Amino acid sequence: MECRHTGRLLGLVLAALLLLGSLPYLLPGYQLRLFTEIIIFSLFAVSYNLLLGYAGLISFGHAMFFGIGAFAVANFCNHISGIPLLAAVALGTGLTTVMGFLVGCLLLRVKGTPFALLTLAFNALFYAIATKWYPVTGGDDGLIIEPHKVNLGIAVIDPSKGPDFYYLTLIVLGAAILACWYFTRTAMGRTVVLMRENEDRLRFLGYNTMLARLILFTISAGLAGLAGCFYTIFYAFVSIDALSIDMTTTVLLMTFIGGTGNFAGPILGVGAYTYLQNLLSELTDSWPLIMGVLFIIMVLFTPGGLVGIFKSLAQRFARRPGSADQ
Amino acid sequence: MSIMAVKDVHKDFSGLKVLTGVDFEVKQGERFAIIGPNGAGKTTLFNILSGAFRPSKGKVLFGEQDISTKPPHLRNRMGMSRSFQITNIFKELSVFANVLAGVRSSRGMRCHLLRRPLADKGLVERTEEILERVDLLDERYTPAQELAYGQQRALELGITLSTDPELILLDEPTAGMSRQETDNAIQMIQRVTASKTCLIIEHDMNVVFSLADRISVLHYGVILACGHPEEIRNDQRVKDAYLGEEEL
Repeated sequence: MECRHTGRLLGLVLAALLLLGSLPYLLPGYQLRLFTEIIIFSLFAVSYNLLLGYAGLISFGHAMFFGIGAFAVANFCNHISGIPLLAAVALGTGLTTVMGFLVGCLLLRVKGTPFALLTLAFNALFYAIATKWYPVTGGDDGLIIEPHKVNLGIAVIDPSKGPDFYYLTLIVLGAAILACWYFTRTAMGRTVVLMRENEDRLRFLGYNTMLARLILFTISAGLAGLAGCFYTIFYAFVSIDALSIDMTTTVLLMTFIGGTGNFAGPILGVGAYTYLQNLLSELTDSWPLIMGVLFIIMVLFTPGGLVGIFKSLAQRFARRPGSADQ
Repeated sequence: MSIMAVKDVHKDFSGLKVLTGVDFEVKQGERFAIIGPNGAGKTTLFNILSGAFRPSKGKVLFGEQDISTKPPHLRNRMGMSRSFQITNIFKELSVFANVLAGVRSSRGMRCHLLRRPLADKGLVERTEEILERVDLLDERYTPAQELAYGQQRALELGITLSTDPELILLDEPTAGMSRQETDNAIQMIQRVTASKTCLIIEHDMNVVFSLADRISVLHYGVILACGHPEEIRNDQRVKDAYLGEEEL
């Protein structure tokens, strides 16, 4: 059953890739930028959902890793002359992964509410450091970067050009998102779900659940850092907003709106959130108010998020009884 | 040869002395039962054996090794596996996923970042084999929480067997079952623990006398008597302390 499912999904992914590849020819520049942003935030939200949806760990501090990646890449680009862009991204991601590991070690023994509060505290700590550490973060002014061109031998990618950067983002972050999807199928990915369901039982089956949680936290942090790197390059600028509590709330909202019970949920959520925000901010300055109301309505009435709505619609049209394919 | 030895185990819970010097040995290949009235310390003892608690004093040996301070996951990897009195399964996952969890653990596929358990034929076949042994193969895709109570107990047993343990620890395997369900469970336990070593904690006399090769009676934190079912049945101290009101 699982195999057929995988095959169908792979076909779907290929068709989607084809469509995504031709987007620069179909969309005007402005829309393409929006789409690039969606890809960046998709990776951020997918990495967040590995914690929230798959492991059942509510983190209020995921932006700290996004922010660390964002500032790391800015500093590497500005201070190491001649560093290739992708090397800066790799270093930034690596640094974030190490930070994820260190923070994860301190969070090892906690779950549930203490976990949520501690991640919030760590995020606040990192934010406080960032506001004061002027040489590294630029304080309230932020940092401007000039990303170098990426020379691939056969082609040169200029990150400041919309389509060029779109392809770079699509390939690198698209691969990362696919890797996340594969991760959910691996032994480790399944272990995470078992841990959410019944961690106590798992310990009596030979699993070191603390180690498993640490591995997951580290991976999730590294992926958020990678998204953060691209965020900085995309805007050619980074400010302390990147690791603010606001950013954490944003990724939480995006993931929730899309639905946490499904891999595609967060991606859908990011798309909906970004387009809606874009639309509303053209109409009114108080767009966060409307977004907030929408979020409350969604949490109250559609706990499964957008994916949940689509699923129940599909079921209604197909007229078959609900199947529990968890 | 003994597979597990318990030596002078004590357990205090902030002054409340639950176990006050428990000694016994479980021999390779036997079914060993511990019985005792409510409050005798059976569950506490069981938790010490499986690693949920540490003894306040004394030792638990597995083979030659002192495992008194080893965490549960390491004990499991050494070859022992426990069941739970209150059904402790992965409720929202399929029956198959429940058993697969233990099967892949015993093959070292716990946190592998590349390999997929469902793509591994050996794991899938082994899981199906265990499901068949506990009569749940037909329910493999059913979410565990939708099973009937008796089937959930069978799944509990299946999960316990899934790591292929040398020593199986069963905590009141027939708790909450009807007479009929209990009889079926006894047969199933006899079948799946054949040629294995098994330690059972049980309240139900019928279950103990039909399953156990040897029995220890736990009473107020110490072992009152230890012997074959017939010896226990006829032991005057046991009759006085515990079995007096029950017809044996």
